[in-house]
Amino acid sequence: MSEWIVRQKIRIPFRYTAGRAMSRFLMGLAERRIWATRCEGCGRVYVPPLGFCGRCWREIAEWQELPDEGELVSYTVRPVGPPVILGLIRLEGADTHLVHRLGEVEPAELGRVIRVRAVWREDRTGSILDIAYFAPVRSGSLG
Amino acid sequence: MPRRVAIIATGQTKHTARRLDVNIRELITEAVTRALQDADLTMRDIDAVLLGNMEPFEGFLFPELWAVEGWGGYMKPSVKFNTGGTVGTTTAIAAYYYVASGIYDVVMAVGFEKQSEGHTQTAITTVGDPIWERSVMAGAIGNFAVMATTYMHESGVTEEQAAKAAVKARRNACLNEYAHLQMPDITVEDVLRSEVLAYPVKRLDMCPQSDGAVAVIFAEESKAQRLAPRPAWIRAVATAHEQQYMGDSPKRLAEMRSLIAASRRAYQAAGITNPRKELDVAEIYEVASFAELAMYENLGFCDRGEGGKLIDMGVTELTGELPVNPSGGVMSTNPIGATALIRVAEAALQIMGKAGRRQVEGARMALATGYGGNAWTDVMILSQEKP
Repeated sequence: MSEWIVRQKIRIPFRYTAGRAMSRFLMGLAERRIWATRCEGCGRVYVPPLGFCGRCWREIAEWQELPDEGELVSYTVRPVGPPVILGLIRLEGADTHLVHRLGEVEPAELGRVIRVRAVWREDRTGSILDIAYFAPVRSGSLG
Repeated sequence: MPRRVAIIATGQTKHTARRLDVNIRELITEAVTRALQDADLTMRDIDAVLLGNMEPFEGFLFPELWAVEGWGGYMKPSVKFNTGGTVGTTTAIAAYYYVASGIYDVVMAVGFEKQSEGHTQTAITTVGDPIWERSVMAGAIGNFAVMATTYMHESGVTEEQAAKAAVKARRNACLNEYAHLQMPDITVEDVLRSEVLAYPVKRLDMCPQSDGAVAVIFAEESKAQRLAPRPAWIRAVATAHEQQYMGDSPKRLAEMRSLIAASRRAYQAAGITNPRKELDVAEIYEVASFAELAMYENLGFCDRGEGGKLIDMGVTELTGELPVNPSGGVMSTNPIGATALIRVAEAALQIMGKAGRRQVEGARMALATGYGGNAWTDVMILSQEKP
């Protein structure tokens, strides 16, 4: 017997400073608001927001609020157990995409879903999970 | 033939225990922006950016990816370095190679660490041999302390002499606006009475954990002359690795084999035969008081066993014959992925005559080192005179 295996587990705690732009974004989520930044150099609207545009190498000072509704651009479904659906969502007015869960939808319907809207949690803490999931905007439910 | 290369600009953050006002990207941007301002350049003038960081410490893996907008690497040629204590000097030496090769004209080296976000001493455990070392020796301190005990025994260095190096560091730091631990009133007694972390190492013998970033810009000869009134020319670079085997670690302060090998190679390349006489200033990666004294011996600043005497005589004080770490050194400031690059930046500031209140008068030849684990060393020698 030559295969002697040593098993280990190392626990490392981390705590991350969200930073100037992301702090405002997270605080906004607690108030059911979605804040984006717009680079005055390239015009890109970033959400989650960036405080500095790496493409233009300049600070971003312009903020704008986006609606909590947008377009489902892509998705995937966990194949085992209860379906977990991940979506790539472009909020109205954004140039970037949010990854989030989708709910109130069956995997088989996904190809037909175009518009989605955030479903907010009641107990919001300033986390991306303050949005429970995005749900399809069904005809007649708008407004 | 390698091209001539010089450092033309530097930028640092104010190093401190916790930068809660900025995230990693924002911290790096501060240093990069200051370096660009120092040379009156924009990011468009930089041909390549090299990034240094010890990513396990923050658990922020691939900072070159997640923080690209912070360090200016977007769509530029770039490489990340992750070599432990030597991260910063590895990044600097690579920047030198990039320019010396003739492939790039202006290259920026960037280093950062935001130690407050992770748990460095736990992460360092993963450096140890997984089979027989991790279970008994975690972090840097215990590992280092056993070497310090042997060094004291072999060289006759005392805890008081080591404490003097710790005092010098924190007092020099008061002259450096970027330094983390600035302690104008610290005494040898304070160091000796501070909490024992692992005999013979006490809290004030050790470096702090810092949040900080640094950026250094390297340029080829004609651009260096145009962009900097007094560039700091790279005179020599050398690196040396040895076998990482804790079985023979006790003597690793008494005889720092990779430091001896790398420094002698660099001295030879720079035409230095008597480093104590020919160097005007040294910025060394000393991590702890005992290491500084051992490094005096291993760098050839004095004979074997004379490290304690050198600090007693004040040779390495700011006003001494060979000032060592006028910046306050690693014992005052240690954002690990930036630390060795700060040595290079500080050595360059001395040559450029831009070191402010910590300036060594007439500094023409400067040494910078990086030291990693207990087994590898980088050395860079800078001079006012073109090589």
